[in-house]
Amino acid sequence: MLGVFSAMDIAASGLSAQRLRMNTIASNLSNAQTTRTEEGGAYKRVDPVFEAVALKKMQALTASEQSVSLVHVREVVQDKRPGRVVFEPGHPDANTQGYVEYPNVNIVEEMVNMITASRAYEAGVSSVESAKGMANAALQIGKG
Amino acid sequence: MPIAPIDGGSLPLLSPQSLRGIEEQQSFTTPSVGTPKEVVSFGDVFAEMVASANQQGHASQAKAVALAEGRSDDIHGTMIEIQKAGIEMRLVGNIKNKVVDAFYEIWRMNI
Repeated sequence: MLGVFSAMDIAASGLSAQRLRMNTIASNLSNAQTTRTEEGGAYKRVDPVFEAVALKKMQALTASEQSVSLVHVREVVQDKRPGRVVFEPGHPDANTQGYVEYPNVNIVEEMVNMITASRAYEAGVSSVESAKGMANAALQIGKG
Repeated sequence: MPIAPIDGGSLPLLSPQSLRGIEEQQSFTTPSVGTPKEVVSFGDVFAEMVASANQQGHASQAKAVALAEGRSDDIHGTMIEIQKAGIEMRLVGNIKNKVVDAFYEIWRMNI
């Protein structure tokens, strides 16, 4: 039953990837004001890196099915852009000149990414539903 | 998610390989005398399908239990696995119905 469910497996990998992306966005938004981290300094925003992985690991696929790919999250990388520097002499993490480095998180950018991630997730769910609909339609052949 | 283009010439339904496969199947269902071929009975194939559907059912159950017990957070994976099990079960049921229909067709035959 491998060929029938390939579309579902591919869509599932996309859903997992978008869910992880949503996790990074939540992390970035939650830490938008974080000035302390274990490595020292302000929080740096993180981004997932996606990678296409061919579906060939499953056997009994035709040549055309081997050319489609799952998506895997290769790694989660830190954004190296410099953070916002604000003059706040009373802040405990202010430097000697009274400046505090805030994370390089742009709330608007994260909101846009969040909308993209949730729409991509919905698209993945739609493709699962469509694949299921096709299989069910095939099972209706000969009825009636 | 990039999807590599599918080569139109190698579509599974149209490829000469799959056509050869159909020819082999046809010649297999009507075997000529004197050429002993490996005989795979319908019962074996059907039992394999039932086992596969059963395995899928167990897989989806294991995922659902893991989700309910909090050992997993794979909501969509669980839902997809359950849908797969449903489709596979329905396919086996449809084939069973067809075979039983065929059996009764022969049963009702006037001799």
